[in-house]
Amino acid sequence: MLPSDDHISEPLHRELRRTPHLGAIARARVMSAVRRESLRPRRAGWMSPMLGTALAASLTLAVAGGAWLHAGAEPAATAASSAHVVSLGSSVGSSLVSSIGDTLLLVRFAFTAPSAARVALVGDFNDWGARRTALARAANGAWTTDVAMARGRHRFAYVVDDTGWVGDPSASDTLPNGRRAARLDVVNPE
Amino acid sequence: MNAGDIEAFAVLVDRYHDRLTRYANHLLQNRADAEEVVQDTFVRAFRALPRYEEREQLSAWLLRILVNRCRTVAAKRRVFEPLEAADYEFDPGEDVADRLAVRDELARAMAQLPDDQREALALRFGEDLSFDEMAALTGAGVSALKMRVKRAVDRLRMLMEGTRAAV
Repeated sequence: MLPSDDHISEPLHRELRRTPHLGAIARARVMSAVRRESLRPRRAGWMSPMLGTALAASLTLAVAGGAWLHAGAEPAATAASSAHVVSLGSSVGSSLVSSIGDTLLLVRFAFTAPSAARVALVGDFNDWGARRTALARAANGAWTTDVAMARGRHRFAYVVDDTGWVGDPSASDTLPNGRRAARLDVVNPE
Repeated sequence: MNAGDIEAFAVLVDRYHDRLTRYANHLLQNRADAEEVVQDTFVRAFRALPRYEEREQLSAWLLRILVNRCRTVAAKRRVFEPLEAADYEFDPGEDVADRLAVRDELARAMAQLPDDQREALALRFGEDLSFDEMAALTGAGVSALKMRVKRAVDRLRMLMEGTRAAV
């Protein structure tokens, strides 16, 4: 049945808000075009020399200095999974980095699953899309990924091998679908 | 430019790519065109970074570039080949077949709207913008935008009722 005048905006909103997940290949294609663009000759003064330095610093320096943010705050939980601000752009004075810093912090998620073939991160920041944020395998059974996130409270979980949903038993919320998710408060590192 | 700039920009692409694609698909109803304008938007944004003014939200700045690119492309060509079901994920509790039918019906109806109405609809319902935000983005007045949305909704209803009556 077609929605009435009073109700058509709700299904419109739901369907038009539904975000496609085109995956890493589509984003890699964009970045390939951006890299080609970056190689094109520029007129003098196109980019401040400080910008590149500042951006690089913001993405690499803060790993050791950020605050652990796992909302469970239970040592046993952070041993298996963690979320950690690795970059705070607003501490660096370039326009792009500041603008990222105004709205987003880069958070490093780490999860231990030695026998997993694939691990994905799902949360309210990626519409719980299991194909959106894959973790990369690191040493000693660890899996990691960096995600740009807005400040505030988030909920997240890991999906192991496409089916196993792993929340956090020490500090979790129950979602409308009955699954459990960890809480994460993203704040500026001290 | 160095590798750090590219890395930082990749964060923006990760963050905004799918959202921009959502809008472009609503506007153009063509996957290839949508992907092309989104890529073009990011390249233009990268090129224009030195002119970016911090008082404007980054997402709004990107959307402004995208809206203009979509207007240009929409004026040139129109082939109905929108994103497919596989490009979306559905919640476990959703009736996927029902949702896909609604999506398809809605996409076909939206493709028949005038460009300005489709744009207003996508900004209002897809991007959840206020009419003031829409006015700032499009250059149109608030009352004109309200009228466009109303006409778009009325037209959608008529088109979708017509489809169902024909089945």
